[in-house]
Amino acid sequence: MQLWKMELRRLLDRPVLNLGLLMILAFQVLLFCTEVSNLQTEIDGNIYRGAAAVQADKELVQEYKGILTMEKVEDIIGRFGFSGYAGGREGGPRVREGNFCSRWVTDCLTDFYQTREKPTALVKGKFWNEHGKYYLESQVRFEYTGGWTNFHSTWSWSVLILNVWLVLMAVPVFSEEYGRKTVQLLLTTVHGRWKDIWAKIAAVFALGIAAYLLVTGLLLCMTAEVYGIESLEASAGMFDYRALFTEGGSMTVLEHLLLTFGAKLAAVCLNLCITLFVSSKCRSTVLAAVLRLIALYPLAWLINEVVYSMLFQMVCDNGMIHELWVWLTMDVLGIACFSTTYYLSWSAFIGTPSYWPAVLVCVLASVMAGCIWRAVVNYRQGQ
Amino acid sequence: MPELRLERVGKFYKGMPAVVEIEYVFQKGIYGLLGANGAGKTTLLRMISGLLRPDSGRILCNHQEISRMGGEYRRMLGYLPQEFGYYPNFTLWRYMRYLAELKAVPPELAEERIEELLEHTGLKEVKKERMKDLSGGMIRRAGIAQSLLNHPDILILDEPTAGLDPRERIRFRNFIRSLGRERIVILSSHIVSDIEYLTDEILLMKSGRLAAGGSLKQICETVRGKIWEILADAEAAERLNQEFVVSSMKNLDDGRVCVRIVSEQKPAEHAVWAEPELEDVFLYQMMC
Repeated sequence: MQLWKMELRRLLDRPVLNLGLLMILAFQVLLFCTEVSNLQTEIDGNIYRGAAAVQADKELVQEYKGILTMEKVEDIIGRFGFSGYAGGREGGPRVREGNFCSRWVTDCLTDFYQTREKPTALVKGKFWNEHGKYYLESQVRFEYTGGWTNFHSTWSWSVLILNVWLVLMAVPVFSEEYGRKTVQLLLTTVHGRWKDIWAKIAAVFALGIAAYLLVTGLLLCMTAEVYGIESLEASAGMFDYRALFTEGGSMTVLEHLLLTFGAKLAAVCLNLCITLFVSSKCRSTVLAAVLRLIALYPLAWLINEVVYSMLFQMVCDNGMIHELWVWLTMDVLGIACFSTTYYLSWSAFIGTPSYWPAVLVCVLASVMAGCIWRAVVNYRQGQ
Repeated sequence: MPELRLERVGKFYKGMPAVVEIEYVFQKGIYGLLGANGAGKTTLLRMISGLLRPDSGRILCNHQEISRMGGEYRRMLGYLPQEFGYYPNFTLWRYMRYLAELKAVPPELAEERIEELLEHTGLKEVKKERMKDLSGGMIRRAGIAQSLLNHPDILILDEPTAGLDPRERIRFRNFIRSLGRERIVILSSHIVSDIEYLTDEILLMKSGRLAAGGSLKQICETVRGKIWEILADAEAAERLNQEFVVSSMKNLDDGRVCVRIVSEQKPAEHAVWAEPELEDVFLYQMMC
């Protein structure tokens, strides 16, 4: 325990890093507050802004609360119409017209996102069959979820930046010992070959997870304060359409929140494990940090967006996707992509085939265990 | 007291032998490893400290292989590496506390032990200073102090006097001398006078091999009859210096030079045998 405290103190003894964490928190507050201050809602001719808009929307939604039906949708359209951009499409602030209800109907049940033009009617046909009808068929529980939309978007950005901070925090753990040549001294001490290594790893995880909880906790407190947290039983499909395509399609906001919390936590842990492994392989802290940061986002993005997406499109176009080996290859590639820190931070696996999450968990567990094991072995050998 | 036994210990780097089949037994006392740069001293010390595994042979401590003893062996060990690493932003006190914890020194005894060692090494006054603000000599002394934190039975010091000024070196030599009474101290150096003054036994290494080993007297005996002194004028002395391996040239008051030569053959008609010294042995071994 004493060693763990000492290792933790060493990690905390970096003023620049502490300042970095404070800046992430400040960025998060700024992002959240900007979203809130940009809120605007129009109900029966009255315009509300900021926190007042939240209250007004919440009161309005009470009238439509419960399972979403076509009658409710038509009532909303009849009463408020569809929602376009208040300031026109080009130039000016792109503030949306209408209120939470009309915006939601427009976003989810029309082709607004495809055309960016204010719709005049519900879209039927192909788009409706592939997308819009799910909202009605999935028995979506309609409630005010504007807070969760803001929460999830701010959360994802904060965790993405936090992961960069985590790399910079964890990368010196082993590489600095090589660089400072302290490793040969530490490895000749009683606890240096086992207990201290685990104390270092535990300190990194404690600090990493604490930072993640701090970021999440602060955001949750702000969300609770501004939006309230009473709509936890609403359908997660209200703000994340991918949730409609999960098994049963009836995931609640709370379930979505827990799943996303787990995914982001897994992203943090995976990032720490890989960073520790890279740290154990490099004698230079700077080199280790650069390598890890390249692999953190750009490489994951490149593999998914370029290799996976292009390949997927190609095999679909050629009709090869029906071949078993092609299908398996694409699945393996997809799972590999979605199990990276970048895509876990976005909970990209939500809405994927039902067996993917289970495979993802196995892949993650194996990669994390492998990285930690190799890191310990590398360090014990003084690399 | 422990016994440390090297049995045909060898180590290779990329196929090249760094240490070749070294056999030796260490018991209580001070042992000096002497050799030119690249002779394998540091590799041997790193193997004894458990940092490297021998590629051949074994190292036994009290008849047990040290790689199997794990923490039990490291509990007996004090080690000062050639390149002593430290954390620049740690205060000296914090650094010692950290290492005391790693060396499993009970917390209730650690502070007292650290005070005692800092007193012995003359660092008590700077215990609250950051390591980066200490002089090279102070850092070296801090290295010695940390190696003694756990009352080691086996103390390994790799080039302990490197970077010390003459005053610090003398002080340090006296300190090491007192340590050898109750433990195995193995130190390496290429400063012959340090080895000569400090050690009970000397291991002379050359190209990874143990060229000679034993007490100073035994070691010197190996070159008896091969050390010569010649009194010559400056010009002749210079000629001898180019022809033979010369261990020293002393200018005398009468203008002549006393040339000390290491040679199997008598280098000149008027050359006389001289009493061998460690430096002569070192030169002789390098020459062979």
